[in-house]
Amino acid sequence: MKILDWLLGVIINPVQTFREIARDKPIGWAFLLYLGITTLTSWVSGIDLQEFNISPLQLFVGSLFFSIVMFFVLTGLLNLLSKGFQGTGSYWGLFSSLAFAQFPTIFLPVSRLLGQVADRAGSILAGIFSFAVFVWVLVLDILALRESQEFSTGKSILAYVLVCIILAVFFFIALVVGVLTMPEL
Amino acid sequence: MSGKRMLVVVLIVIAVLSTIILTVTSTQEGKRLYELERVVIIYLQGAIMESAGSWYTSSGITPRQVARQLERAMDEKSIKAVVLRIDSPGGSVAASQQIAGMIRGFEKPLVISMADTAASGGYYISAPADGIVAHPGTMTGSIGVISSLFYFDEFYEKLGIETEIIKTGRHKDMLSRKLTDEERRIMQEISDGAYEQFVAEVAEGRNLEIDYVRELATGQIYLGSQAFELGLVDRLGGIEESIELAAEIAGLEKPVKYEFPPPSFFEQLTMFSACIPSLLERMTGSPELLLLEKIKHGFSPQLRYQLVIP
Repeated sequence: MKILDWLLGVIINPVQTFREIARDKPIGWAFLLYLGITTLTSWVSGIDLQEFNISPLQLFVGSLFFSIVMFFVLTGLLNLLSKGFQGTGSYWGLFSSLAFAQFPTIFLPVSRLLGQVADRAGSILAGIFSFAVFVWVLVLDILALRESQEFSTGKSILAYVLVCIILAVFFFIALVVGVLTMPEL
Repeated sequence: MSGKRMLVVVLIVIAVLSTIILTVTSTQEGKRLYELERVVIIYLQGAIMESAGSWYTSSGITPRQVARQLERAMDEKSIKAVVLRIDSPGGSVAASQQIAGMIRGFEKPLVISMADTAASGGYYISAPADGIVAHPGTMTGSIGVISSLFYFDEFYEKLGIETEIIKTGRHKDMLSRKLTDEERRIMQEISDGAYEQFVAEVAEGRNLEIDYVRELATGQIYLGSQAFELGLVDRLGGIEESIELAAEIAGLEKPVKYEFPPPSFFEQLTMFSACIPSLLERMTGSPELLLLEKIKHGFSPQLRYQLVIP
């Protein structure tokens, strides 16, 4: 099965793998993969918050929906900005590559479990491991963008940073508007 | 299937298994949480006021804040009793009465732990609790009412502001100028009424004779040790003794001290965002108008159960 080759390729040979994925555009597999990864990570987040009387199921459904919507938005913004940097790839090629770039995130439940079983040392190791996975996925995102849009690493990083800034500003404005229309805190 | 493909399958299986194990253990943890005998400590600090006000007034104890905390304590099954750690010189009469009502109606055992000061309104909201613990050196008591009126004629003159009052009813503007003798009598009657409400609340909450409370209610401050002798508090001690008392009342064998987690990043961001309009107003507003608004807010006539410290 090619998907298994691609998943392995994301770990051991990401550059070549993203090039292939961007060319073949396995949209269905990419969507299923992203759904599967988000399902696992959203469920684990829900477990973490049940002490605060937040239902894991409610958080899971909300988190899943939000993650999927944001992924489409993020990919769209990246594609738009890439065109500004003379990128030549397509939206679905980028979508597929970015979805596969999230694969290492499935290690987060493992790190969470490690933190739970190995007590204090485990918590520290779990924290370091989670951070390492975060950086790993970030690098894969940049590579996926670069290979699918066929431009330089510098442009890829710039496009990614700009999208993050745009989303942060938009979120902040939405928050301020939301707060201004709320009754007094 | 080749070895490399098998490796990917193994990684996915490990991830799924980890999630399943986490789910199972957290369910057990959830049950363990429910069985815990938690006593939550809720900190209430500052003057008692109706709302938090704007950015330039210090935050205090508001009915909304107390309601939110008590609701949370009520909803969490693992919490079996509440200790309210109060450090307050009192404040607004209405807000104190609202908070006292919430404490009176709270369905789990609730004990007050007095900090440095729990006087006047701070004592008013403590009276209906199931128990009160104070340090020997806590300042409490000050059972009484105070109103301060400020006259701004000369101040407005300095700012170049003229005022003209058009009113119906001869007493309508009584709080914006010097009182007549008749109006002073009216204000005294109002204060006396609020005072009687205070005395009644203490008598009912502490299960004391009303005449006895009236004897104590001279506005005098009592140390915690004096208040204990007089029956205004139940025990001397700090937070640990308060937890012990709460556990006794609730019939808990192994009470566990608990505090609510601090606000999340998102909540802190929301609170910061709420301050932005005020910050912008400060940066762009006229200093004289800002001063005028601050003084009007801080010196507006109010009936207060409050310890007066210059």
